[in-house]
Amino acid sequence: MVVFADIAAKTVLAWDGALKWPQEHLDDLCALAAQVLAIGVGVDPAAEPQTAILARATGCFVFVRAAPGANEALCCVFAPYCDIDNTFAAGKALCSDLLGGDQRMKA
Amino acid sequence: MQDAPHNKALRAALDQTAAYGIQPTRSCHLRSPEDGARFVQRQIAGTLLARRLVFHIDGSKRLECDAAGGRLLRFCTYDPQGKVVFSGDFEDLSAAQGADAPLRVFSDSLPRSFLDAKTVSLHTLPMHDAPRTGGISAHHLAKALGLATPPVTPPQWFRTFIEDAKGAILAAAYLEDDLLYPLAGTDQDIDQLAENVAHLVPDIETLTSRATIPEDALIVLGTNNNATPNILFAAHNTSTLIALISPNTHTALTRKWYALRRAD
Repeated sequence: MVVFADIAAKTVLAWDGALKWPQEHLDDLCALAAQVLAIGVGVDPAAEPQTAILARATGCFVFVRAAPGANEALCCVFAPYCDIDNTFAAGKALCSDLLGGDQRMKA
Repeated sequence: MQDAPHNKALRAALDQTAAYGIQPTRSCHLRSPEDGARFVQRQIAGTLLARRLVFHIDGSKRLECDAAGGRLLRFCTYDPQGKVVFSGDFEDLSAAQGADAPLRVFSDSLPRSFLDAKTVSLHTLPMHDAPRTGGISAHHLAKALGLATPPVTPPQWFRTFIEDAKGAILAAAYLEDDLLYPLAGTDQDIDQLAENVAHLVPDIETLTSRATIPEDALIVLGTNNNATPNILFAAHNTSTLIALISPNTHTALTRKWYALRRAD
């Protein structure tokens, strides 16, 4: 599952995935991204997290802020043991595409 | 039960091992005199075999405590020049003054020793001929020092995780309340870890809140700034593991965490 969201407004902007999630699950994912990426925000702009991973028994959540200081973030849910390092690069590229005007999800 | 020969043999073996074994120096970064007092109290509470605990504050010896069975038996404080300032013992609690007077001296002098202090480290020495009775319990000591928190040792899987992920972890410590206790890395690495955490979260106590770092979860935060290493958090009960990690090690670390948690 991949969701592109405005984490400040907690609004889902676009999503794609193998399964169709109910809206409330997408909203929960958006809120989770806001919560995790908020750790450290507002203290030192240079230290503000741009990426975050939340690994839990139910899956691995990967969050990529679209750009430094941006409210938009890509929120992905993967199975445990996924290749996260490659996900970051793909996520950043996807964010550039989305913020560059191509609003159609390619993930 | 206590006098059984095999218990005596076990005690002797433990004493021998601990007396001649290697005890790593433990250190802690301080934000207030209370942090220092809590560190001292926890070390005494965690000392079961008879030991002399020597506390160095910002590099110089400032306090010696003889402890056994989690109880404080004797103490001696030093000024920065190494001269004895106060001393007291709690061995004979039946004496007229009992424990009150030396305990008051200890609890008054300890915060003063930690005024403006940045770090405290502990060196443990063997101690022979420790009295088997007397002493002030850690609980009593905590009350006298205005501290109520009991000491907690980190979960074993923190150490296993660090050991398994050796190449990926630059420095690691565990957070208990608002105190960081080093688990891996040099003093310099731990300094950097403490600095990074302070940059990221000014109120470190929020990291022990399970609303910030959920129970049984691993969080890794990364910045775009190459000079700032990524930082990892893992929670277990009241303890939080915090580590600085090398770039491009997310996959390896999360896989190790999943493997370890599945086996736990």
